[in-house]
Amino acid sequence: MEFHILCNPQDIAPYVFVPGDPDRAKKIAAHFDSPRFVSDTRGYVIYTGTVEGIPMTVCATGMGGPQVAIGIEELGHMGAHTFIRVGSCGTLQDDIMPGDVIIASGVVRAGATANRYLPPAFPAVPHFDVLTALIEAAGRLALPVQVGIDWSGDSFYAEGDPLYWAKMKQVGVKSAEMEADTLFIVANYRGWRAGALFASDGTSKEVKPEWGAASFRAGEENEIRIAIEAMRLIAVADLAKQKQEGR
Amino acid sequence: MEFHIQCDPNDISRYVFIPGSHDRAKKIAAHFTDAKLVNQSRGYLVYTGLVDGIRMTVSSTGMGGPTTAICIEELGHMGADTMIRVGSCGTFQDYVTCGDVVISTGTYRDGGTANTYLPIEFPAVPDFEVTTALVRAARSLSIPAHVGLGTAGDAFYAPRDPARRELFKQAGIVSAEMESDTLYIVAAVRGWRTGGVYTSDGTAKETKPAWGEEAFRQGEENTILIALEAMKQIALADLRRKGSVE
Repeated sequence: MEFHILCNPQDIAPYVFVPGDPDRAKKIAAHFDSPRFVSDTRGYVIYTGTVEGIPMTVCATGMGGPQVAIGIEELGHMGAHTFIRVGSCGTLQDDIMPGDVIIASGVVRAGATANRYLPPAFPAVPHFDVLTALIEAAGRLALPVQVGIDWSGDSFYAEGDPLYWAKMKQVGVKSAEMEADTLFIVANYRGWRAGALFASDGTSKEVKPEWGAASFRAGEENEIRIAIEAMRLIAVADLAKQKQEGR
Repeated sequence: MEFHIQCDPNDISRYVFIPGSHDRAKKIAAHFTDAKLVNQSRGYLVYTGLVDGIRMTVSSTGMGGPTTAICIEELGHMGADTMIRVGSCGTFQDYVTCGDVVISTGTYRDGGTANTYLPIEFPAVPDFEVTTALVRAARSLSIPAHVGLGTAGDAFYAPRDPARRELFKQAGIVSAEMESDTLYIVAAVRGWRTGGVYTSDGTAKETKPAWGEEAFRQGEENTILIALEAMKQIALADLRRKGSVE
């Protein structure tokens, strides 16, 4: 038994969605065929079900690097190898509105947890196959997305240096959230595959404005659909590869 | 006129191949129709010509961050915004051998030049569109390619730390070269699209072994073919989007 996620390892699928928010975990599980509640220890709310016959799990990680690292390490011990973070984010760019979906092609490593695994010089990037699948899935569902660099750090309320943020905006950083740096680095270190997409809940000027709440919810539903379709594409490709190698 | 690449700005295409090696620049130019030598000051060999009617440029960067940054900044001043590095590399992985092609998905920032542009935690990553074009080009040419992470640093002959090699190997780093960290970070600041494709000239155990030279040359030609095809597809996509490749 793991130290924090207390469940039967058999109940964890190799394909896992990792939202931060436990409520979003439930929303993702609602898209599974016959979802089963697995466990809820330390706030890691877990459901497992199937999508077109493929077993998939969703586990809420909570907020910030430390919880994400513990969560995915223990999921990995139980056989998980492919992770898609389905998150929310703020934005630095003036053309991004609440509900817009952003797929991360790389992450600024402003958090500290990942530094315990690999030095900051190591690029926090999604696995190319997962990134490709997310973009392909969005295209298949005809849902608009932006692909770009994300910023991931350990603090929600710290103001930070205005010059630093101006620089990040200038070089095109699209989103800001708190988990993708850790997810990508730990996954890379362990030899797992990971990707991430986020629904913006704000604008470059406003944090979580009330007027954007309904759009955000629509965007959240869009990113869930994209993530599930992407995971399905990945699993189908894995299966085809296994068959080919077995022949 | 730029300070180091001294040519008519009109002679530079927005689509540029940037090998480190001057000889490789010539090899790439050999695939152009009507290739014209436009610069050789400071050792930057620059040719411009046509690939299936699309104007493209090749410029050697020389080795390492400083000379690469100067090169691409000046190319950028003259209108270049899409750059593919066609390089050679060493490797940390036992499954890679001489002549293998590696397409880069991100780079460990072991060099110094990029730090003057963006802090170390900023990810050195190629543009997704360029990387995808490279992967598709390799597939359409039936050339097998590894797709993965690399490291780029400032010293070829500095002492090698075995513990670090082990860490890099475990973390899945495929290639080692000396320019892509600078390329990706400068491109992020300037808003250009870039990608990298390399040929391994060694194995995890040997640096540039003589027995692997012929395979390396073949691999080098393969990376050139992949880069040419990828750039062509990018230009055609631009054409579809904007109605113009200029």
